[in-house]
Amino acid sequence: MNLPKQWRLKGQRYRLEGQRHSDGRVRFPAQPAKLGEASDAWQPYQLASTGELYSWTAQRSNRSEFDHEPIVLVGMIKLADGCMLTAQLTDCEPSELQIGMAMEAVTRSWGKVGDDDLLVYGYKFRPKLVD
Amino acid sequence: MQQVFIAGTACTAVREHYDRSLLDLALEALHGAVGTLDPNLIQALYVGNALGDTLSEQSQLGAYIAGAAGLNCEAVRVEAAGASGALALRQGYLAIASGQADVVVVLGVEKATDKLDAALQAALALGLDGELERALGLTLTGAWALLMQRYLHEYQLPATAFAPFAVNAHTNGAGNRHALYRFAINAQKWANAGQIAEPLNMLDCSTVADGAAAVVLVSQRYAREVAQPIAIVGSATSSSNVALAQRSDLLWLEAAAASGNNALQQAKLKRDAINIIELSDPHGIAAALSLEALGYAERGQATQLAAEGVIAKDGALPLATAGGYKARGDVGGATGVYQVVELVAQLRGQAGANQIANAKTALAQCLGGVGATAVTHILQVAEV
Repeated sequence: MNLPKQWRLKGQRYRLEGQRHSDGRVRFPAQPAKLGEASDAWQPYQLASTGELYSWTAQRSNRSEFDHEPIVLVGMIKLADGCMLTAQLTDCEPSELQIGMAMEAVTRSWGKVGDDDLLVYGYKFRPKLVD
Repeated sequence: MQQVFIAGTACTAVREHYDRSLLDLALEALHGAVGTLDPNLIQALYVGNALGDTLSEQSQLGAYIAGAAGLNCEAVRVEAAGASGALALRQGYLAIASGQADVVVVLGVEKATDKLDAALQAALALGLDGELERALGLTLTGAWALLMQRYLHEYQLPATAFAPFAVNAHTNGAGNRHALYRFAINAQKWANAGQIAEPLNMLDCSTVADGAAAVVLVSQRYAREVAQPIAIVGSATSSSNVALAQRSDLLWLEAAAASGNNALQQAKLKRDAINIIELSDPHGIAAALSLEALGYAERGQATQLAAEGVIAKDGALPLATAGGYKARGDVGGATGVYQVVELVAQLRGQAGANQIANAKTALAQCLGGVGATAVTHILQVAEV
């Protein structure tokens, strides 16, 4: 079980913690400064939790950890603050999905990890319920 | 810099080789490529392999294969997902070009069928970003599907616009005895295929299978003794973000563009000098974006190029003349070496039913993951 890794990632997975640059750019997840950047150029920032669907797929041939699910929906979301991220989609059917539709973040189970079935939670996105 | 030449080449048939191990396949390709060359002349072995530690549970493939081959020399495994073999070729190229060696062997080998498909999908997804993509359940096929979905939206195309890539690959695969699928398909059959990762359907997805390919690289000193030496006149690699969401433009394969341009510049060639091309084409979208990155089509226009027959054997830029990923089979990290073995056969006039007349210059580009690594080689008939 990779428990330390799951613990280390709790900020990005539970709270969508990213970073914002002094020039206004936003990125996800938080990461060390790139070469040539000042170490304090990027500051902690919580991403917007809404955005629009940029692309999506409905996977019907899945990896061993996910092959109990007939379809895994994955999308790319362009958040309201301009940051892009990839996420599982939930609470919807493939037939409902349209590029450009409004989406919102929710916290859901990502699955079980290791022999002890550690339950891992994180962000997913669903079609926005109320405008 | 020394000039670098390709001497011997060989590959195994691409199959689900349930009765053969990674080592069996590797040795068949090595024996074929080395032929009667004195093994004592071989100064290094570069092994391109993507999945060996996961699916064959074997690391140190350099030493593992060199030992089995009876070689006691520098032996290195190179890994960059699907670009592993091409990157191994680049390491071999650099060893000769730098003057460190005069004879090296490059091997691409993949043994994909020792585990069931769900485990294979998990291994292939290691080429994605582990924390941002793989952890979500995204597969490598799913990642390409995200690009295709966006491409269809941006350029207002139907999915069937991509059918000509697979139809072309299968037409050519039928003439390649090493190909996994030796039958033709048509656009109607393509359109009726079931979905794998929407909008990618079964006939727009390659099958990962087992195989090995090898080439012997030599300096000019040894090239004089080779019957039909082929020169590597361009070799370049580049990289971009592994995570799709961290790319500034989802539909632009930045590394493919950079490595292609750099290889052409090194070869002092314009792109229209290329007679024949091999790309990473596990799906039509991959071929289309590669053609656009290399400048053969304007953005959003690559499917039109395919529809007009430009990529066919009698077209201006024949693509996947041995079947490409779709019909020859997707040999994972071995692919980059397969591409070069197939192009060398073309340049030597040994491609049989798939021979392109008067092919003198060829380009091979191989991608790792969804193009985070791109490796381009340009080959030319040599006069030594």
